[in-house]
Amino acid sequence: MISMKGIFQAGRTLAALFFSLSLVVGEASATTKADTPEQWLEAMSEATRNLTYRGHFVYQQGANLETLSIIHTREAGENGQRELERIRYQDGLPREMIRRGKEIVFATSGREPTRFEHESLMPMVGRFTGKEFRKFYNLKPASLDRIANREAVQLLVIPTDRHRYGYQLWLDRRTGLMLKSVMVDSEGRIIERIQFTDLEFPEQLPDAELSQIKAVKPVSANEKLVKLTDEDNKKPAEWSWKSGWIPDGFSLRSQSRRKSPVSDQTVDAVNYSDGLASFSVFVEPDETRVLSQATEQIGSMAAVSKVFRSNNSFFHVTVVGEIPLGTAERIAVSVRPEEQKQVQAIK
Amino acid sequence: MGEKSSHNHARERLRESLSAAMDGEASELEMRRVLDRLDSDDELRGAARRYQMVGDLIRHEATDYMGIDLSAGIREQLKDEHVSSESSQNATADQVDSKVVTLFNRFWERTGQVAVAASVTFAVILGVKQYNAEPGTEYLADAGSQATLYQPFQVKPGGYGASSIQAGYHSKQHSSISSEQLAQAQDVATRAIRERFRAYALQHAELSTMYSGQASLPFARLTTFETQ
Repeated sequence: MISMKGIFQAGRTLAALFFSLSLVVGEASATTKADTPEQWLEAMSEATRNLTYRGHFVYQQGANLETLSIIHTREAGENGQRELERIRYQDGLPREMIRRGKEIVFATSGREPTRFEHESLMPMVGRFTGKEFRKFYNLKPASLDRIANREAVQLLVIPTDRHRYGYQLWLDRRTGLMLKSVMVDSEGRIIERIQFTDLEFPEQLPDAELSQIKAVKPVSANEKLVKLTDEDNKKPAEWSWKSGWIPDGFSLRSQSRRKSPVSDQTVDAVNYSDGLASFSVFVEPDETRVLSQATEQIGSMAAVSKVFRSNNSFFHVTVVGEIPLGTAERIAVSVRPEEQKQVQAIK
Repeated sequence: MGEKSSHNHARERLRESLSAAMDGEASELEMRRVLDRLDSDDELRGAARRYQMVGDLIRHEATDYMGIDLSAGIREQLKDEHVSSESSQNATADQVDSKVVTLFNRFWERTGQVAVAASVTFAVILGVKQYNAEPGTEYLADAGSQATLYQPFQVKPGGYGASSIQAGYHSKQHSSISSEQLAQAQDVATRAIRERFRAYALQHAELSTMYSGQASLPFARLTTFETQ
C-alpha cells in the first residue's frame, strides 16, 4: 500500500513537474490552446475528427472487456477533406467498422455488412462552448494524470438533471484527444469505461494501411444499404407522428426516412444529442401484430420498444441511446400519432 | 451484472416513472407500472412520499418549509384518523400507506400552501389504483382486432448484459389462446425484439458517430450486442 501511494505521489510530482516545465518550454509544441473546460471538450471533438492517430483501446461494460484497434486520418479528396477511419474488434467474432467520409460500413463475420451513406453532414463546431451545454452539465477540471503513457487532463462532466449520465474524461494534454472515459449513473455506479492502452500520432499512415481502408468492396445484392439522400426526406409521408417529450438540452441532430432494417417498411430515424449523450427514435408501421412492449438495459444503452395505434394501423417505436432507461421510456411513451393533415384524396 | 444489477435497474426505472408521475408527466405505461407496484412495494411507497415531499418543497421555495418536521405532522394526523369503512378484515399496510399520502396532502392543505398540481396528480394515481383493483376491470385501452395479442412482455434474461422487467401491463388475454400458444408467441416476440434492438443499436451508433462529440465510442458500444 505504502509503495503504491509512493508511486502515486511520485507520479503526481512528475506530472506537476511536466506541467510547469511545459509551461516554459512546451508551449510552442502544444497543438491545443484549450483553456477552459469547454474549450477542452471542443478540442476533444476536433482532435477526434482531424488528427492522424493509431492505437488500441479497451472497452469495459459490466463483465465484458474488449480490445479494439483504431486508425484514423484525414485526406484531401475531390470534394474537400474527408475522414478515413477503421475500428477493429480484436477479440471474439471479427467485426470491423470503416468510415470513408460520408460512408460507413459495419461488417460482422457471418453477416452481410451494413453500409450507410450520408448526403450531407452537419457542421460540428461550438457545441460545447455554447451556453446551452453549461445548463445541463457542470464542468470541473481535475488533476493531471497519465494514460497510455501520455499526459492527460482530467475533466469531470457532471449532469445537472436525471436525464443524462455523468462522465469523467481524460484528454490528451497535447492534442485534446480523449484517452479515457468513464460513464457513471446518478448514483455513481460505473456504466462503461473506455481507455487507450497505446496511442501514437504518425505524420501520415503508410499506404498499406490506407489502402485497407480505401479498398472499396462492391456492393453485393444482399447487402443492407442505408442511403440517406436529402431527396428521400422531402418525400411526403403517408403517416406522421410526434414526440410529446424530449428531455431538455437535447436537440435534433438528424432526421431521415430510411428502409427499415427489420421489415420491408420504411422507418423514420431521428437522432438527438446534447453534445455528449445521444439517443435515436425509430418509428415504423408495425407488421408483427404482436403488441409487445419491451424495455432493456443493454450495457450502457437503454432500449425501449413500444407500439402505438393510429386509427386502424399500428406503429412501432424504438428508442435507443446512452441515456437512463427511465428517460428513454418517457421518450418512447410520449410518441404519438400526429393529427393527420387532411390529404385531399385523389380518387 | 446479473441479478443484482438488473434488479437495481428495475428499481431505478420504477423510481424514474414514479418521479414522472409526481411531476404529472408520467405516461400511461409508467403510470401503470407504478400503480402495479405501489401495492406490494414498501420501498416504492417510501419513495413516493419522499418524492412528494421533495416536489412540494421544490415548487414552494424550499427554505420556507425547512423547519417543519413533516413526518411528525403526518404521524400526528394518522393517529387521529380512523381506519375507513372500505377496509375490511385485512387492513393492510398498503391502505394505511395510501392514507399517509392522502393525509400528507391534507396536511399541506391545512397549512394553506398546498401544492395543487402535485396532489392532484397523486389523487389521480390513487383513484386509478382503486379502479384497477376492481375485479375484472380492464384498464387497458380498447384493443384492436381479435388477432391482436396483448401481453406483458419480457426479454428473457441472459441474452444481453442485463435482463429486463416486464412493463407491467395488465394483460388482456383471449380465452381461446392456450398457454402454449402464448409461450410460443412470446418466444417469437423475444426474437423479434432482440433483432430489432440489435439492428437499431447499429443505426444509432451510426447516427451518433456522425453527430456526437465522441466519434469512436458509439461503435465500441456495439460490442455488447455482437458478442452474443
